[in-house]
Amino acid sequence: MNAADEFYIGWSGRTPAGYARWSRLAASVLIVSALVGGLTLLGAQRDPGPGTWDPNATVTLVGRVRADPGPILLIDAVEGDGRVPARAALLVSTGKFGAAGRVANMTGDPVRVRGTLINRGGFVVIELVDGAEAVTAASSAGNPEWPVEDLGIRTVRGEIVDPKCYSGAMKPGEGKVHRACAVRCLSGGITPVLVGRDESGLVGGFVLAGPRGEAINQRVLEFVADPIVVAGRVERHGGPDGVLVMRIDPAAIRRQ
Amino acid sequence: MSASYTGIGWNRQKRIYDAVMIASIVIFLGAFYGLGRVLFRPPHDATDETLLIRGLGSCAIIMLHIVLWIGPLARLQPRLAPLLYNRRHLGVGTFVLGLCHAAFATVQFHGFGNVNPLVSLLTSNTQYGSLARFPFEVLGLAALLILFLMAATSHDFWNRNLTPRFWKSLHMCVYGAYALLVAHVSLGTLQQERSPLILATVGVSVAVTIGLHLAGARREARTDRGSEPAAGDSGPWIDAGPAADLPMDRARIVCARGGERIAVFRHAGGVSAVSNVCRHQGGPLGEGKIVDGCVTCPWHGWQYRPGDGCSPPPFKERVETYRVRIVAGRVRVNPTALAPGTPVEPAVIEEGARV
Repeated sequence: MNAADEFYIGWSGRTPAGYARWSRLAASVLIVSALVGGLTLLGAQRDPGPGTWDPNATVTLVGRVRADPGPILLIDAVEGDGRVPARAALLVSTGKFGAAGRVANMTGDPVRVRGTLINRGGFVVIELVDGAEAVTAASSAGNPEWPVEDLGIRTVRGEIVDPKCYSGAMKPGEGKVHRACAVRCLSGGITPVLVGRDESGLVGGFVLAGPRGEAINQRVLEFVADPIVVAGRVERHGGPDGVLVMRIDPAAIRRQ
Repeated sequence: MSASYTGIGWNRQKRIYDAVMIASIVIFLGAFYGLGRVLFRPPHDATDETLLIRGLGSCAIIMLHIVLWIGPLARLQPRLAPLLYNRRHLGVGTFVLGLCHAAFATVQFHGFGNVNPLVSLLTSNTQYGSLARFPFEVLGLAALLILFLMAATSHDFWNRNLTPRFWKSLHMCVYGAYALLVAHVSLGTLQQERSPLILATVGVSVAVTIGLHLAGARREARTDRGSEPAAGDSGPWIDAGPAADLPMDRARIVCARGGERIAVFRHAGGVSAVSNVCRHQGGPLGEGKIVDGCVTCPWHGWQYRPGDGCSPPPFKERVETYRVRIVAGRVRVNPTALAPGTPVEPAVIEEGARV
């Protein structure tokens, strides 16, 4: 049979030589393309960020908590061998839920907190373990003060994220692809954080609250993951290694 | 061909086909995940979930491209017909990968929250009025539903019971799914990653898809322009060229202006004309060959007798037939289709005609 007479019938179980050659070529191209394509598309991905989280490494911390302007723990001591790279941490629950309700009646009290550390460049979030053992009364705390430094009115440009995913629970945990997840997290009570910088170069995660420290989760949902600019009063809670809090009117948020 | 339905009529061709397909998927995902682990080291590592979601989604849309490219490639290079033979397995594989991508993404981004993950999928972002903030997830979901319908009806049982025409129309929705997925990627990953390489990959892939289909369509357009009415004939007969130039056991495809394509075959008994459209999946019978005395479709090997358009027993498929005659050495075809399975006496080529 000459090449022109060749004809392929799949069910016949025979592949004419000309068809076989092209099939082998196609299979080779496919397999090489799979290798090159996988490597190339991965190589084009953006750095997922420096967040870390070991969900199996539970730590116990002693300090004091406040429920507003967000569930914040000022850390006085770490029990055991653990180490925390900041003086203050935001508290969240497992899943996509906040923790404000779990510390609402303990404002200013010395507490013992059990959870796992989520850390991105010193911005620390603690995911509380489930159950009542997550936050218990402590007999004493080293420092009864709750230092707050007023940094004045600042204009910050950046992106509203949910701090749990952004800090390392999900990598990457920012941007449009993550928008729906962040909306779910904020809807579940996780305190919104504005990641960005102000006009003076102050960079970081600004815990967002209303002018009186009230939660504004529902009012910022439509701006999540968008590049925004907003002005508000900025405070630093817990000293130099503490956490930045920004009190804003959500109506003043503008997309860039 | 098969006279009865089985899950999959396995044969050596299908086993090799699927082995290459699965090997390619494993190599792609392995390369994607493996390099992800090597390139992104702690603390800049990506989570396993992220690598899986992105790897599975990328693999699924690449496979959909291959599914779409095979059709015109096999038209432009008939030796690639084996790629087309088992294309349905590629389509089902595409759906399975897309489903895994969607399942992981839904659990990851919408699970463990204060509403049902599927409700969250539809309600977390409703900013349909903005391209920049458009909920791209919904586009992927719509594409997945189309791919599901196609995968679920891919078996010949559904081809027969939905009727080949409806089945073909349903499966042409793959182009809708493709458009939705390109939009899904463009309004999702492309807005976040902003890598020129990913942008170029998507752009080139779409361009190749369009280019291949245009090339295939251009080739068919030559046939569809329509053959001239046969000179000196009072009826609707059209000219199908010199009988002597028709290669033995092969066909010439002709078409009356605005009419259906007709495959004019030369075989041992003379010249016969049948519809160019295979009853199975609409394959081009005129690009097939006479094998064992039957017109054989180049896509999946379905067969019809040239004299009456009927599949040989025990099969029951039938295609339209056309009256043919030879006048002054030229084949003439009456473009009025006869009912499927109507016997038509082949036109006899006079002795001495070149083969």
